[in-house]
Amino acid sequence: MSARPTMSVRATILRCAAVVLGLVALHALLVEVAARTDLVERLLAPAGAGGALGLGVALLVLRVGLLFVVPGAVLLRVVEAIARARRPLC
Amino acid sequence: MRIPAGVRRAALSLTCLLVGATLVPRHVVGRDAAAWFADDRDTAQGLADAVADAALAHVTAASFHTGNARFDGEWAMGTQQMTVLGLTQVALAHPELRARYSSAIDAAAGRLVDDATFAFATAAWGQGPWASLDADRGHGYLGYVALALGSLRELDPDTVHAAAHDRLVDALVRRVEAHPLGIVQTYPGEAYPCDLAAIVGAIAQHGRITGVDRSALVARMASIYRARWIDPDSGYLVQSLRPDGSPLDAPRASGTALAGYFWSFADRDLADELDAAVLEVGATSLFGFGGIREYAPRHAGHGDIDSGPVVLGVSVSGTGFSIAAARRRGDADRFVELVRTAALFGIPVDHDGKRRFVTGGPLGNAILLTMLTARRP
Repeated sequence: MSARPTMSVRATILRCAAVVLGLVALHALLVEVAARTDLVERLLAPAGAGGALGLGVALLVLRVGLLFVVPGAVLLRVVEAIARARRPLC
Repeated sequence: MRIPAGVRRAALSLTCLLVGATLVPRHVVGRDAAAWFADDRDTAQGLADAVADAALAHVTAASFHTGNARFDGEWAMGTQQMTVLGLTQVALAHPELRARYSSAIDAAAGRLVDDATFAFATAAWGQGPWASLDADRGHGYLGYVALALGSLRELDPDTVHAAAHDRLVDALVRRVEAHPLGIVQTYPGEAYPCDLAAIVGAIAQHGRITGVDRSALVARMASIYRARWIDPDSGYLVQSLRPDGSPLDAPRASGTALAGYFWSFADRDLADELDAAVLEVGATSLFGFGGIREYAPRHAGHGDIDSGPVVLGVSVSGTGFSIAAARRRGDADRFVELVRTAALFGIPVDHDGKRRFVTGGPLGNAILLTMLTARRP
């Protein structure tokens, strides 16, 4: 096996880790903002609900995506990288 | 035959997504579910501290902004009631925490005996509930108040609210006995089996505290529920009634699950039947996360303020209230699944050792504390 595909697997894992960490950090930031602004109160308020609604939707979409989609996407990327690494270079 | 590359990649993508969704979220969200089920003190204390803080911060109707003054008032009253119920449950399970929560319990109970808390009902009935106790007319939401005061009295038999509790329950007994079906209207022309369940639960609880035998009233109401308001196919409870007692709305999980909690104070068998309905007929699960279908089979709707949002047939309130049902039935697996869902959408955060659910607000946090610590038979 040549060095290049092995690096590709490693690079894929590192890229995925970086993306996941970034999303986790963004999620933590949004949760903190929501906690400090009493999100649910603002969501229910007739005035100014737009911004809170955006924050709430963004938070829930990010949370669901991070938990239910990202793990599978990372797994897919890594499996594909491994498959590429095993494929003989010609 | 060679499988096209596109099909292979799609199959691999789907497989990876299913593996990821099956294995990861259940180990990340709601990890404290088992601790809640085991009555872990530190776990309960984290949320109880946050609920107590909110009680001491004076939650009123002005704290809510639903756009409807009645709902704002109901939510403020519900927050006080659930705060008293939740904190007393924690204090009864862990007596060493009683002093820690006594001031918050007293603050919430104090608001429940003050007519100023019930402006939403005064607007509907023309009189405040406490000022018109002897009028024996309506105010069917008072079962919530009586149950909270009764729980306080179980914790502190010498509470200053004991006399008010006696007067309130006496008035509720009179109102139930005055109607052939025991109906006490919540608002003029509106009656809800769930609210009546709170009244019956409070009357039975008061009977245990004071030694007065209320078994005949409880048995009569249980037979009325089984004969008229529990859907024989699903076991769900109809959500609302016409003044003559005929069903007005469909059988729904949010009312069924909360009524099951209230009936657990009066009749364990009926509470078990309601719990079984939501947990066996209404329960659904995906990737280790549980939910409860709001409408009984063959019924449909979009929910309302009581159910919260209904997504894919599953309601927020039905799912949250059913946590207590799973706990009472000792169904650890279902309990854990429901708590995971509550944590997924409730988004718990920890600050200074206190835990609260970001999307819950004062009412949601108080409800979750009460459901997560519901007393077992």
